Amino acid sequence: MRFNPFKTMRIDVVFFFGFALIVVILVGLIVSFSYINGSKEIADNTSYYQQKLLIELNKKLNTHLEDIEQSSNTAAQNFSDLYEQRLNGSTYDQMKVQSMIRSQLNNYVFGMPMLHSIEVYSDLRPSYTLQDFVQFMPLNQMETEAWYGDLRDSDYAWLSQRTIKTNKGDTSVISFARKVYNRFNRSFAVIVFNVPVSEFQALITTEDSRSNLALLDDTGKLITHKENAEFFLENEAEIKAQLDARTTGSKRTGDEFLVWASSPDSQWSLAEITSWKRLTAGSLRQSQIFLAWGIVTILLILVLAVFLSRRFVKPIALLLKAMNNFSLSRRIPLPKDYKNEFGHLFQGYEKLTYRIEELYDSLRRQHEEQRAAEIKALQMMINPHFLYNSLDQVNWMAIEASQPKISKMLSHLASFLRGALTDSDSLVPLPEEAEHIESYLAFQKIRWEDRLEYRFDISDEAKALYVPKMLLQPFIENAFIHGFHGKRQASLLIEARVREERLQLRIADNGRQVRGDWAVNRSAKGGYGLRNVRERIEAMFGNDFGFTLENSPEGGTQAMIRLPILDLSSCKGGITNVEDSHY
Amino acid sequence: MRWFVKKSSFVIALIVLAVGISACGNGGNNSASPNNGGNASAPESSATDGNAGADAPVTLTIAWWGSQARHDATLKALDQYKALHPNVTFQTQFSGWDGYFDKLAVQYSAKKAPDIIQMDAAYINDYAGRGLLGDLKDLNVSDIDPKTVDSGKVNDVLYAIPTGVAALGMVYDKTVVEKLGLEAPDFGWTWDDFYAFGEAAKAKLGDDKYVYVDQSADLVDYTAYQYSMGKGYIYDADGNLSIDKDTWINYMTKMGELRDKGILTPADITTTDKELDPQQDSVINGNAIARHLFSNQVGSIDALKPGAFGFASMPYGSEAGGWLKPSMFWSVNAQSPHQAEAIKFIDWLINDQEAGKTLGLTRGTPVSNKVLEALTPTFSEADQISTDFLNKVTPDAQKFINDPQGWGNFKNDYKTIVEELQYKQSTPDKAYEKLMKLAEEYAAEAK
Repeated sequence: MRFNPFKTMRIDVVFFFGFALIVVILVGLIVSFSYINGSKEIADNTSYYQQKLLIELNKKLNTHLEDIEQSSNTAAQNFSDLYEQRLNGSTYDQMKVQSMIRSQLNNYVFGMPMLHSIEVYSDLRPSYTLQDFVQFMPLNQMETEAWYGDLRDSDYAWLSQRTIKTNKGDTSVISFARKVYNRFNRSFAVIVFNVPVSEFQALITTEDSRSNLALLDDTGKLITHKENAEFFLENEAEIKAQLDARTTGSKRTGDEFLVWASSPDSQWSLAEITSWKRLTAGSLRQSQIFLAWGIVTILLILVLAVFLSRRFVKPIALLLKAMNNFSLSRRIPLPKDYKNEFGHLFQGYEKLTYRIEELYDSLRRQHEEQRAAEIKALQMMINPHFLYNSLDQVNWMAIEASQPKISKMLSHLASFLRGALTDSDSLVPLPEEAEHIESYLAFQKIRWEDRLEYRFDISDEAKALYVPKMLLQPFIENAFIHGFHGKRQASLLIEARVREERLQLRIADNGRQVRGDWAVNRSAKGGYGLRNVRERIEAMFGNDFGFTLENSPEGGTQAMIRLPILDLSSCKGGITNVEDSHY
Repeated sequence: MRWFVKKSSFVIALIVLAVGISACGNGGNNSASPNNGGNASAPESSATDGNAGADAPVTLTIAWWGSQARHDATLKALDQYKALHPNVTFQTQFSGWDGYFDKLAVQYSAKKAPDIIQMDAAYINDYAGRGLLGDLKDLNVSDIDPKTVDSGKVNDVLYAIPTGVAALGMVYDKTVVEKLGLEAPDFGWTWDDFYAFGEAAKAKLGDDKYVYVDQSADLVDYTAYQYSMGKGYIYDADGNLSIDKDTWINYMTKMGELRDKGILTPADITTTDKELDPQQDSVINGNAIARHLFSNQVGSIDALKPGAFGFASMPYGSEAGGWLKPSMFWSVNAQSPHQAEAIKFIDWLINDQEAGKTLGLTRGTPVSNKVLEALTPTFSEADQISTDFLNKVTPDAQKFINDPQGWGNFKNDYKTIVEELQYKQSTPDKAYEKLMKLAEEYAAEAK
């Protein structure tokens, strides 16, 4: 069976979980949307502005570095020219040329604040002191330098960060090395321009200085960096691949958000990593705030749900209480101020109780009437034994007085009364009832002698049926009291037939005609006897059954009695069953 | 309402004032800002600057030349000053003598010269004459001998303050002299002793070792010679070159002879010689035994080979050859926006006893009597030698005059001319003619 919470669960629970579900879904959607969207937007924005910044930095850097490259080019040209003068000169000339070369190169250092010193690898006289701005190194020393590989196959190269000795101690420099060619296009010297890393870092320093910056050359080699180099070193290959694929871009790996930019006209690339956590901190905080709001909302909704369900359930509870404690004696008042569905429900219930009370009232009235009737019946009831004994004594008196007729009448009467007053079932077989009536007729026959004729015409079908006891006697008595009064000849027919699934009894006489207003003026015809019969039949079988009085074909009055077919089987359960079958 | 207007205008005025002051403070952050030209009003404006932001962060650029010992001592002194004045940071530029003034010239022309400059006597007149140096009148010089202070004045304005006094003398490798069993040069020795020592030493040293470093191309050497020969200073009172022809030619001829004999270092070794360089100083690397030296360099050379060196005066002729030189002037860049701070620092550097202790004698014997008094008990052996050196030269020390204006670079050109002699590209007579021609050019330019 399918689970239907609306049928099985408490209303407040349904309310709360229904609301909570919606809010949770809504809050969840908002939070995730704001976080995902916010993060994406931040990443996009950051990427965009960082790229712009990096491109600007790149331009700035490029200007300075190109300056150095061009200066070194000029220096190399001058160097070559001066060097030519030295060839075949005296040692004095050589000394002069070298001092001119030094002087010239000195001026490059003095004129370019970025430049720390210049190293010259040549066959000029070696001169290396920490105090000088220009150092002369022997040519063969160059091949032992760690950076030589970078320069071997090209005319010039930026050398990655290395440490040189200076009068300030060890200093990290980034150097630009250029081969110097003579007019025969043979490289005979190398000049190395040393730029302190601090200068590079100052160049790539941004105002906020919050990020990890790295400077890479066109081969993706890490030239210098600010702060932490680990990430750049670990991901050198990856960064290089990204740089090759796109000149500018961004990528996120774990907590590192990498943005890079390299301009096409520059061999330098700048890469910046920012902590993703720090970038999205704002977005995360926003999401957290949303989440907090969501939780607060859920709590509010809990309160609201409880409040609402209380409010909605309260009238139901009131109604339930009213129904549970329903009693006629004490009326539980329902609130009158409900105008909505609950109002209708209350009104409906009030009407219902009103109707029930009315019903009870009528039942009570009926009951009282019935009781009054019973009391009346009891009042009228005569102790049968007293009656029998009295009749017995009268009988004896008649026998002693040799009044056989009276004696016979008395014995018929006694027989009739015995039948009528026996405490037996209220339903009796029709033949028994007929036999009973016959004793009464036999009693009348003695008075009427031959002037009275009576006949029973009971079909075999009807003989098996039951009728209420003493049903016929009032009609017979009525015929004698009213119909035959003053008549010379009296004839009576008692007929029983089964017609249209009913037992139909006809008691016809040849007495006086029935009066037209008999049904209205009951006391006029029949009095208690007939009324009693009518009420009995109606009480037992309903309105469909009963009797009518009319003029008989024989010239007098006939009573037509309609009864249900009551055979042995239907009679066995007693009267209740009989009643049930009709209601 | 009127009250409100008054009140609010007062508040606005205050705000404007505050903004103005903070703007000044910010301006002060930019060291050697190029738009701050070297004009007469610079000291005043910088003074207000200094008052407005007494503790405003300031970066001072400072440049000096010298040996590694001097670099180390100076850097240490800067750290001490920074500890005392957290608002001050320093940018340092230091090197050897070679190229120092070339660089300074380039920096001045780019208006990026340092705030505080170590100045040499040869250039004071040049730089002060061009209005590039600030007036140091705010400096406390009460503890300094007025004569010493005067050495930094040009037209009675103090443009440079010496940090010490040094005497010119000679250094020799005591261990070699003792090993060879020679009589060591001493204070008061004569030129004859000088030649004799050269001959004797050369005889024992062999072909590839030399006695004296050939410093004949250094104008200082000839100055000492002319003094010792009683011909006076190389500049006369009017600032004209006053080199005695015969004396000069005699000197150069004699030096040529010594060179030929292998008593002086040959030209190629001379060229690579770097005074006080651990590898390239010919006395330190063993190519030669002796050279001239200023007393304030005793500590530096002793640090390279502790206890190995002995010291002597410049050789005497008819008079003494040595003189006392107010060494290592400090000057303030007139273009600097931080002149007040710079003067404050220099004041500390020359008058503070702790600074004196840190610097020792790396710039010569301290000029402040108080500092010297406090320092004397703490002298190291090298300091003691240096002081003895100075004291022995002082009694008959020759007078020192700053190079006249426009002649600052003369010694460089002088060197080139003498180098021709060293390389035998010329003769003393021809070289003298060339020198005179050069002097005429200088004199013409200086007028």
